[in-house]
Amino acid sequence: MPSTRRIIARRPTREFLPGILFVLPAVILFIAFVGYPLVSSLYYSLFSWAGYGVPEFIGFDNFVNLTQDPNFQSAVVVTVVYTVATTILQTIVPMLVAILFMQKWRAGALLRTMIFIPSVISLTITGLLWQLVLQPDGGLLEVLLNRVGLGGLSRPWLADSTSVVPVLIIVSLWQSLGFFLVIYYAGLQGIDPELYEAARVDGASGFRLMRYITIPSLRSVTTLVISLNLINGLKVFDLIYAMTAGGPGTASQSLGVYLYKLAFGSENGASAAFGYADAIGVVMMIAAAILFLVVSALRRGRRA
Amino acid sequence: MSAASQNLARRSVRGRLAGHTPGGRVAGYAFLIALALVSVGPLVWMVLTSLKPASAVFNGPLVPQHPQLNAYAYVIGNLGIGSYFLNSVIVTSITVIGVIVASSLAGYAFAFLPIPGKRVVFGVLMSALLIPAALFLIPAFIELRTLGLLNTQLGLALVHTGAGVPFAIFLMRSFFENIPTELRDAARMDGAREVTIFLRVALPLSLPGVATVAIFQVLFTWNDLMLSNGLIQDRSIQTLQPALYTLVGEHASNWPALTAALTIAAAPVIIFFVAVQRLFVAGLLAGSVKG
Repeated sequence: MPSTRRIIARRPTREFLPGILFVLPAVILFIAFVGYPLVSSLYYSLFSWAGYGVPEFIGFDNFVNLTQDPNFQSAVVVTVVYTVATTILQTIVPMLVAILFMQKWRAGALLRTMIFIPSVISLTITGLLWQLVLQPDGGLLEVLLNRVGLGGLSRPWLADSTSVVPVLIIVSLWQSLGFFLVIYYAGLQGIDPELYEAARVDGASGFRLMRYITIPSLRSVTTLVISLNLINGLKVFDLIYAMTAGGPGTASQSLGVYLYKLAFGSENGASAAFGYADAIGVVMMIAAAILFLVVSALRRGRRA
Repeated sequence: MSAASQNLARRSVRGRLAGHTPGGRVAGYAFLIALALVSVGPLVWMVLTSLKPASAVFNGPLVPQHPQLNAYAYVIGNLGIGSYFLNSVIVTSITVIGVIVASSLAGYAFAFLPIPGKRVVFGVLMSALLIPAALFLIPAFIELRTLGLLNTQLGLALVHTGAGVPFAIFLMRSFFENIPTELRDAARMDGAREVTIFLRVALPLSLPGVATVAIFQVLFTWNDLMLSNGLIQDRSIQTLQPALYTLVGEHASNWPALTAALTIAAAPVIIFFVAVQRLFVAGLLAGSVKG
């Protein structure tokens, strides 16, 4: 419509007024409590500052110090391992379970609801509850292992630096399985049944149907699930903080947990280091930007 | 999609995998039932433990022989869990109302109204979805301190609202976009102002969207630990999640009390979500998957 285009071209400011007024509350809230703090965290990362007194400008020293900080290095490793493992597990397992649920099962809806329940309770409750479940004396897991005669397997899961991260990853899967299952299940309902009919006429069946029709048709859902997992992994805090507080030592300390402890003083009474903590925040922001590019590339791939 | 074609879809996937043979059916049932039991098992154990006397926790049977509510009386009476619960209700309510008002107005504008630099503004808001809360926590802490809002429920709720607005706008916009343009045009012809169209036409048609936004925001705010713990350090106005965290540290060996507190915090959310599960799924589909 050429007439519309001409109107847009010489649209007076007054025409923008309703739109501006409508977005104003959201934009003000966002800028005041997210946007401005974000920008100032870039600024504070260049200072040595404990949160009170006068910040001392130190240029990029915080970032230089990060490269030599063993706690930071181990936090990077923990965050990357956690993010990669949870993304892989929490993309594939819910997908396979959702596909299995597409068959007709008696009480299928009840079983799905049961699996969904953990995903609505908070990660704090999840972490605190599993801390009890995994206690070597009296915890549910130990009691069950003893019942089936496998008591010898019982060990202080969260106090052992080799088992603590894998355990966190499994608990994360326990918590989020139902949520991603629901997303996949909804996506499966949207697949055109004619695709299956056509493939079957061509003689395909069983796993070939899954490989060539079900999984490719779920591509946009899978992209969404991968994106959510990557982002949640990068910013993991609640679950780890509640379950292990980063311990034993720093064995399960993610970037989010380390940042938080630096900023708000950890249990051992260390003084707050806002500037240094903000430098970690900036590193996480850069990582988030890279993830964003990866996710966008995935999206583009989906459209192609 | 019609029920008939949904059935067809179901049937076409069905019978292709494990369920083909009787043996496969049994294995399938065993697997799904085991999965469901693992999912609810720890939660059931949590409730059972909360009903035990402290003496029977470490050596008694899994199911208490004489269930009692002493632990609940203790966490409500002595540990004041009720006031933390109330604080969470207050912070969550302010946040949900704020997010609904701001995001429905903005979602409407992004769907229908001309705004200068619309794409850029929307893009900036959406990029915030990727940003971890840890990033703005410290400056938000300092900002609230300057404004005199640190250690207040309003301050925490405002930060939650600012953080919740982008995703809510994303959801609301996709719900508004489903409204037929003819309806808006008709109201326009009748001389209705934009606010009237929004309130009388668009919003009533997008109530499922409002419900979805509310559900997600309840989940985010009620369950948050980092912002709640960082921005409210005064124990008397603390919300539930940080309070639980402190409680577990201070009463580590009183398992009935701990599990009773966890149960009190978890139960409302579980009941609420099982009740609105359908709405939740519909919202996810409309908002996230399609977009």
